[in-house]
Amino acid sequence: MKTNRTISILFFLLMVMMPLNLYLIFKVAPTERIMGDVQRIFYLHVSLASGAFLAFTCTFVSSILFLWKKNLVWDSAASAAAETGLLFATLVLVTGSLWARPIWNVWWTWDPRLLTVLILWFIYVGYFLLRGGIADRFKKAQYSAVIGIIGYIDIPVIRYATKWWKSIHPLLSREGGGLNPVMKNVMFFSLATFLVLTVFLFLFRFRLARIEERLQKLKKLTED
Amino acid sequence: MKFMGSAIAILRKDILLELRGKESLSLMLFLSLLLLVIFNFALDTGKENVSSLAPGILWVVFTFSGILGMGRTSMAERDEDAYLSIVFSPASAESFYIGKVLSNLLFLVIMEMFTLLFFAILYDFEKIIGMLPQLLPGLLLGTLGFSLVGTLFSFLTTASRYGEVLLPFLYLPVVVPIILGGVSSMDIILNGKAGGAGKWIQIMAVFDVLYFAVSLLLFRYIIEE
Amino acid sequence: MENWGYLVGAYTVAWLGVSFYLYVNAKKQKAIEERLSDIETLLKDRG
Repeated sequence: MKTNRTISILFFLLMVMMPLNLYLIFKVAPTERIMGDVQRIFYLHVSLASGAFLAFTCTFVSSILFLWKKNLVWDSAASAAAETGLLFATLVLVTGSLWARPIWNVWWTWDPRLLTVLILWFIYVGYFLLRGGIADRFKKAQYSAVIGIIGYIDIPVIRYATKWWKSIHPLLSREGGGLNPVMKNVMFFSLATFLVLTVFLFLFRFRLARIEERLQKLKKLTED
Repeated sequence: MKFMGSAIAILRKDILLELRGKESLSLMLFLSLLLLVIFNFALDTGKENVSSLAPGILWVVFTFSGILGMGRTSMAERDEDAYLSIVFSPASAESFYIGKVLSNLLFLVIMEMFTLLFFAILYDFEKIIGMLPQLLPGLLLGTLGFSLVGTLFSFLTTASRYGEVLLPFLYLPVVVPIILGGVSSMDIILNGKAGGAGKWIQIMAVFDVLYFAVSLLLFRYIIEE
Repeated sequence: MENWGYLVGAYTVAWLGVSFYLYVNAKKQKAIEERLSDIETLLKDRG
C-alpha cells in the first residue's frame, strides 16, 4: 500500500528530525533573557498548536469532501485527523499550563489563544461523543461531518471574540520578549519536525481506520 | 415566497402545538425560575452588586433553559417521524430549518422575557425591565445565535443514543462567542461602562450571519436518510 | 537552571502522550490485522 511506504518514510524522517530538533532546542537555542530556560517549552507548545490546527483543518476539508462525495474514506480521514488534533490540543493545554506556572505563578491563563484551543478541545471531544452515540455507519459519518465543519468555522469567531474580551480585561500577556534570529530558526525547524509528526500520526491512524472498515465489511460477509 | 411560506407554516404548527400543551415553554420557564432561586443561594447578591452580577446570572439562565427547550423540539419531531414526510426536496429542508429556528427563537425570547421579569422581582432589580429597550438588540441577536446553533445541533444529538443529553456538550463550546457577547453587551449597557456595546453587537451579528448560512447549507444532510 | 522541572515535565508529557497514543493504536492495529487474516482464511476455505 502506498500509505505503508509513506508511513515508513515519515517514521525514518522523524527518527532523524526529532533528536536533531531536541538538540537544537536545548543546545543551540539561546536562553531567553526574561523567562530563562523554561521558555524552551515554547518550541514544543507552539509546534503542537500548529500541528493541532493543521489536523483540524484536515478534518474540516475531509468533512466537506465526505458530504460531497459520500465516500467513507473521507470520514476515516476526518476522524483520524480529529483524533490527532485532539491529542495535540490536549498536549498544548498541558504544556501551556506547565509553562504558565513557573512564569506567571498560575496554572491557567485566560489568554485568547489558549482559550481558543480549550474551546476547540471541547468541540472535538463532542465530535467523538457524537460519533460514539451513533451506530449507523453512514449517519455517523454524515453527522460527524456537520460537527467537523461547524466546529471549525467557529475558530475565527472565538478568536476575535476572546481577543476583544481580553482587551477589555487586561490579562497576563504571553509575549515574553522577542525572538532573536537563532530562536526563529529553531522554531522553524520545530514546526517542520512537528509537521512531519502530525502527518505521520494522521496517516498511522488513517490506515488503522481503513483496515477497521475492511474488517467490518468482511465481518458482514461472514454473517451472511 | 413559497419557501418562506412553508417556514412560517412550521412556525405556526409549533406555536399551535405549544398552545395545545406540548409543555416545552412551561418547562423552560420553570427551570428559569428554579435557576434564579439557586443563584440566590450560590451568589451573595445585594443591592451593591446585583447590577454587576445580573448579566452573568441572566445569560447562564438563558443558556440552560434554552438548551432544555431546544433539545425537546427535535425530540418531538423525531418521535412522530413527522419531519420525514415533510422533506422531499432540498428546498423543504431549508424551510424546515428556518421554521424551526423561528419557533425556537420565539420560545426562547418568551422565556427570556419572563426570566427578566422573575429576576426583577426576586432580586429587587426593576432597572432591568426599565432598560429593556436598550438591552433588546443584544438580547435578540444573541438569542438568534442560540437558536441557529441549538436547532441544528438538537437534530444531530437526538439521532444518537444519548439523545438530547448530548446537546450541552456540543452546543456550549460553539456558542461561547454569543455568551461572551451577550453578557458583555448587557453589562456595558446596564452598568454604563466605557467602550460601548457596539463591538459585541457586531460580533454576535457576524456569528448569526455565519451560522445562518452554514447551518442552512448543512441541515439537509441531517434530514437525509 | 531554575524551573527545569516544568521544562522537563512538559517535554516528557508530550513525548509520553504521543508514544502512548502510538502504542495503543499499534496494538489495535495488530489485533485487527489478526482478525482480518482469520476471516480471510475462513472466507477462502468456504470458497
